Amino acid sequence: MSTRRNWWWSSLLAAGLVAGGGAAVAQPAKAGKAGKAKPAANPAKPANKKAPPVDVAAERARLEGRDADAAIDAATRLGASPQPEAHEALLDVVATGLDRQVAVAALTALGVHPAADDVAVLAYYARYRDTQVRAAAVAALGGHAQAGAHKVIVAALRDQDGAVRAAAAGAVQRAGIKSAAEPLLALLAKGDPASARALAAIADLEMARFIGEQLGQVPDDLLAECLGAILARADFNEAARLQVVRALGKVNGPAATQALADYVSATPESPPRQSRKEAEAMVEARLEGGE
Amino acid sequence: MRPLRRHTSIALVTAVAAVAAACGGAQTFGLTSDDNNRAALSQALAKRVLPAQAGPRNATGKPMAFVVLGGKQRRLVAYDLAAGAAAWVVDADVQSKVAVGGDFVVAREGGAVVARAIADGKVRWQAPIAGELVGAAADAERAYVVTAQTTAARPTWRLAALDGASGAEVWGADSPGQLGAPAAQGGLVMSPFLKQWLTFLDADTGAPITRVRGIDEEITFVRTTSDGAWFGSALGVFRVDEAAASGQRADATYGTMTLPKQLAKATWGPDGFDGVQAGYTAADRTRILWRTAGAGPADGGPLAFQDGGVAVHYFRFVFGYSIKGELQWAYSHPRVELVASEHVGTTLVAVSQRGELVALDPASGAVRWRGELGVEGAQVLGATIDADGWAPQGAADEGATTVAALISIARDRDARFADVKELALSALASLPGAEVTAEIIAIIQDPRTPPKLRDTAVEVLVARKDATALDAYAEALAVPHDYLTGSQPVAVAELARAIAGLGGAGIDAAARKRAVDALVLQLESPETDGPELVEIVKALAAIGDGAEVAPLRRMLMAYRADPLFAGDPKLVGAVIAALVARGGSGREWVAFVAEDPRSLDAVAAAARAALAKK
Repeated sequence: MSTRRNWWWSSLLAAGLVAGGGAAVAQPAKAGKAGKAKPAANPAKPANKKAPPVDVAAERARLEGRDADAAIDAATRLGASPQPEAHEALLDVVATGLDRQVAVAALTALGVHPAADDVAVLAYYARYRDTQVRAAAVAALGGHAQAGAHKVIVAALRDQDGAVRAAAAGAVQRAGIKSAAEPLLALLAKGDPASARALAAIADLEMARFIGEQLGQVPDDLLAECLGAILARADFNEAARLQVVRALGKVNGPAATQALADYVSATPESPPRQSRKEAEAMVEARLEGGE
Repeated sequence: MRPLRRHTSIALVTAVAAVAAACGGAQTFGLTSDDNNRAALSQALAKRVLPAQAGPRNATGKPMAFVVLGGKQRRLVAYDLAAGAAAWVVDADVQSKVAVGGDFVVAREGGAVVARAIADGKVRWQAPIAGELVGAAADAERAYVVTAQTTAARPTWRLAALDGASGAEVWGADSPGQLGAPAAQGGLVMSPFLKQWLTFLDADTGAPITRVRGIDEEITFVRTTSDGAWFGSALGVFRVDEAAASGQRADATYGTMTLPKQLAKATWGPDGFDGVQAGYTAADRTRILWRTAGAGPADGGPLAFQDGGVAVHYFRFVFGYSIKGELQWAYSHPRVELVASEHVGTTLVAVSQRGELVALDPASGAVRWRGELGVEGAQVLGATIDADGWAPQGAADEGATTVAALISIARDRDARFADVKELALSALASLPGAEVTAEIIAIIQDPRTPPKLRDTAVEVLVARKDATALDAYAEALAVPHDYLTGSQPVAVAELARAIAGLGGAGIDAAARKRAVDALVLQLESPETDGPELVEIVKALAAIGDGAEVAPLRRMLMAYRADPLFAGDPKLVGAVIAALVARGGSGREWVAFVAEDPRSLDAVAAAARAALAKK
């Protein structure tokens, strides 16, 4: 069967549908700054407990059977297993077609231990006709560092379905895909709720300033959520935080007040910080103003 | 319809017989007469004097258009076509068509027939109308007016000759049956009677000379040009010659042709029995314009139309048709309707609602001349064009622009012309050029295009089989669905159908690749629906040349266990058929799907069925 699967994704590669996905060896998931490996924050990944070995042949048979519940369970087991042959079996079966419900579970399971060979198959499923299947495939791609995977994720931000866009935003957040900034800003302007935190996750100082300038262009609550999430990032220095706090201060509404209050709560009083001081003053003024 | 008309006619004839019997004595219009007497008709025609050469009827010899303007105060404009300027404009409550005589024009104004001098438009005389005006004609000396009094217990019609200089009645003839609008020419007056006869009278005395009885067709109008006279009905036109004495199409000099159903409203002439058409009406905007080539055969036979066909004025548009019904050219007037038109032999002259005048080449439709009435706020109600033989001088030839005209018609926003747009689109099917295809694609993709017209456009696109337009198809299909920009491909199924219609023949390899890429983009787009997918698969199969196998295999494998896919037998069948048709590995994958237990039953069964076919 793997011959069939190999042909399948090679045809995708040949068609140019997955750029840069030709690596034959599974790559560990990478995110954040180049060269700084970091474990993928995959919600599908089980706890750090070592999973017991699975009977790959038996689980594969269950996955390929007509019993959907058993197939979903088998997909989850195969995905959770660190055994390369378990992942291989899972990928084989996904690549050669599954019932939609089972496909969602199998695609999610594929994301648990990302391997480079997955990308072509996941990319195809990222354009599947069923929304949940697409969302699962896009989410699974968030564990990959390849440019081809990122391209698919960024494209999924333009999907007509909100659930798929949300999955793509989550994948952007997870993989730290900087090239997603433009579509995310557009989504923010359209009021797409999934965009705020993803944008906050990839924003640098300049982008944070730009986001702060979007007052009036972006719904206030989303702008506040995005700026609040930027404030929560540990990698921003005091100058940057002060800039974000001041931008938040211009945003009306309870979401902005809450974001400022959250920042005050999360920031120690000592050493004293101008950003905290100003945020605190803003919160007090708003509360006195009856907000 | 025919039987009903026959019954109506019989009823009228019966009524007339009763009235005639009551009146007693000889009369101009009656049931008993020497009908269809070739010798008598020959004698009448011998009396007729035709001009030596083509020219306007009016005595100035200038090609003129007499244009009636609407508004609070109606106006009559005499426009000199040769000079390109109005000769005069007068306030005149014109309520009928204007008939042109020698040095005067005549029309109904209020409750009277009013004659005005052609030189300056001043009123020369007026004669009260008893009853309603049915129609008027004029020659060099007289006006001939048909009126009807239908409110009395015994309706009567009257044809009267009025002196062109004084308006005095020279002679008159009552009729117990319906008279139509007359025509006058060179000493003859021709008067349609009861839609069955055309009575020839001596213009000087009103004495009846002979008459023609229409045996297999009604006679609803009579018309004169400087080279002859014509009568006919909605079905066709007879030349007034000796052969007309037969009264039958087969033995007369008779012309007709079948027009497209979309132009069915167009008529060979105004219905002279319809009192409404005594004035300028919408019927004047749907007219077949024709002239004949030479004198024609002496003993009857098919009428030879000039330039081998006719023109059809249809509201804003004019179409040239061959006698076989093939479209030769088209003209689309900008923005407003043409309210009057006339084939003057050398050109087709038309006047628009806004007072624009245009002369078209009857053979090519090319614009030979344009003019403006030059009257502020002109709202033209109608016009009588007296310009036989006029050839515009020194005018720029804008050239024939049939393709542009047809495209303009097809893309016209006026919702009233759906049928004509269909006609224009259909005509485009046979015209070459990638730009034509691109325009048809634009029509299909335009959301404002009515569904029926869109369907026609698709049919035309498919029928064109324009392989040179493959890039245009690819470009139209290479539009992704994009939530952010709002972009989406339009008319995917229709474009795919057009591509499928190309087959594989004569396609440039690079264009093929671009088209296949665009089709695959839509094939693998989640927004593409089932019917669209079917057309895309067929298109890929038609032009893919093997490149379709990989994407179709991917689709089959990824969806073979998906109930949504399995529940779409057309799509399943199309994908499997395409793969089987290509043979080789495509067929092998179908064989795998046919046997693999993970394939849903409907998919596996379709695969087995396709493989079983020889």
